[in-house]
Amino acid sequence: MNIINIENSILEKQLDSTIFLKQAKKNIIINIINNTSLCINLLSKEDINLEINLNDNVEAKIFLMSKLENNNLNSFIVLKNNSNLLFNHFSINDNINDTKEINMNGLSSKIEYYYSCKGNTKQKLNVYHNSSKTDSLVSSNGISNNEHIIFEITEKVPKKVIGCNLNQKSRIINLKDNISTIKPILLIDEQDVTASHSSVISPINDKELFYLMSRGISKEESINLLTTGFLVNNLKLTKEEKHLLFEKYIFRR
Amino acid sequence: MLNIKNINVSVEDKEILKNFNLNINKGEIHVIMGPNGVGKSTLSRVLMGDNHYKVTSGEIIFLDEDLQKLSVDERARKGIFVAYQHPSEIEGVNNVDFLKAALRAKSNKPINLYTFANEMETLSKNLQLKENMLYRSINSGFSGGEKKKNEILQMRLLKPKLVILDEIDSGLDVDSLKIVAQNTLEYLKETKDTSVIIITHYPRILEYIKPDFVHIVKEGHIVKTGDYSLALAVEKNGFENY
Ligand SMILES: Nc1ncnc2c1ncn2[C@@H]1O[C@H](COP(=O)(O)OP(=O)(O)OP(=O)(O)O)[C@@H](O)[C@H]1O
Ligand SMILES: [Mg+2]
Repeated sequence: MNIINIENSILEKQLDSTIFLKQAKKNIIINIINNTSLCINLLSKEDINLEINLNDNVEAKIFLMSKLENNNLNSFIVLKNNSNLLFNHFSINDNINDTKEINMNGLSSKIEYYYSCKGNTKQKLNVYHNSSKTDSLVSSNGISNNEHIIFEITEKVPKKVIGCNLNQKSRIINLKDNISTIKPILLIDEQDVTASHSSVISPINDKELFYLMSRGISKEESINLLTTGFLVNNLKLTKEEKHLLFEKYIFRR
Repeated sequence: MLNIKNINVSVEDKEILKNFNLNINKGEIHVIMGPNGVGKSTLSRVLMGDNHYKVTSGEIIFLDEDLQKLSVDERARKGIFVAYQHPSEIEGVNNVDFLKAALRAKSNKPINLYTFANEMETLSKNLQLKENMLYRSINSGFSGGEKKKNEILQMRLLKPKLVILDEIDSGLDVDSLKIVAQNTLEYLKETKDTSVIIITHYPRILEYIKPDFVHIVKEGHIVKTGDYSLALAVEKNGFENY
């Protein structure tokens, strides 16, 4: 696995020849030349701009883990012909604007995007289907404990771009009585498209909570088990990636 | 062990249990039978502390303590265990993490992973549960019988003092019923003071686990108490005569 580790502006990397990295201060450009998998760990209190380009016919898996505070994370992703990206993002946020733009420029390019976050977040995601037969699956899960989570997910298909497939799922669990918002926006100018979306904002499932507590587990720990499950289960991770996530981000006794 | 004194219980303003009384001593096995919808599962939920079920009057004493003052998790740690009629499926939380958390909560100290792994292996083997099920999400995609066995596995691991088996026998094939009954018997042999409430519609499971008392519940409370032969009479003639 390729690794990029950024902690408070210091970048460490361990990359093979499938990935070409350019860094200029807060701008990180990742060019993916061949099939690969990459893990990015991001700890930052400053703004970060991330650019990811996938070459033609490349199949890549990117797992982004981040812990962010009072900053903006701007990501810009470009997919070329026939490229295929599996993008997992796990983020612990404290007052964060997470803005991502996915440009599906290449014919038959495909993205699966899984986002799980906790804490005060504004996720603004734009997916542009600029080419025909592009395929996007966007799944976002959020846990809000007295914080405000906003998911604003916009997908665009212009006229004459045909045979696209759009799939969008957003779920937020509110642990307290707070206001979270999901705004799915589909701007489709073409008939020949299949699209689906679903949005759910709910409190924690009290039947599940009852079941765990009735085995002696405290309310706090039960909620912790349920919310961790909700966030991790949304991501499509390998065993190794899961292990890394638990080690770095999820406290487990 | 357990003394239920004259309780009234309502669900969504509908009264289900009325002047319900039941006293259970250490080591006793009680059976509760009764028509569908009479409130048998309601009783088990009330004992566990499900707040959808309101105890409007009466008292429940468990091991010298007023049960209604305890939260759900406190009741469990004090020794109450319900094997549910319909165990919840919890996507995303795997069985092993769940069981570890439950054990930790009970013993209030870190668990020995080696002992834990051995115990899990023995218990799942005894119940003829495939070991890979332990690493799947709780009950998710389990068959009806597998869910019931998973309840029994939890019972054996957590070693409760009062066990309520709510239709543990429904949905089990002949062999599974035998396995579940034998596991329960083995557990009761290990912990002689443990008391049991078996909620069932069929006397079959009682061929393995011999009850001390059989109660019939109708109109919100126990209308008749007898022994094993009462269960056989119900099987033959139904509830009409009570
Ligand atoms: N959460 C609930 N909300 C509304 N009504 C409920 C709820 N739980 C139980 N009831 C009602 O209370 C009554 C008793 O239900 P309960 O499940 O205790 O019956 P039971 O004796 O266990 O029946 P069965 O033999 O079919 O399992 C039923 O009329 C049921 O519809
Ligand atoms: Mg029932």
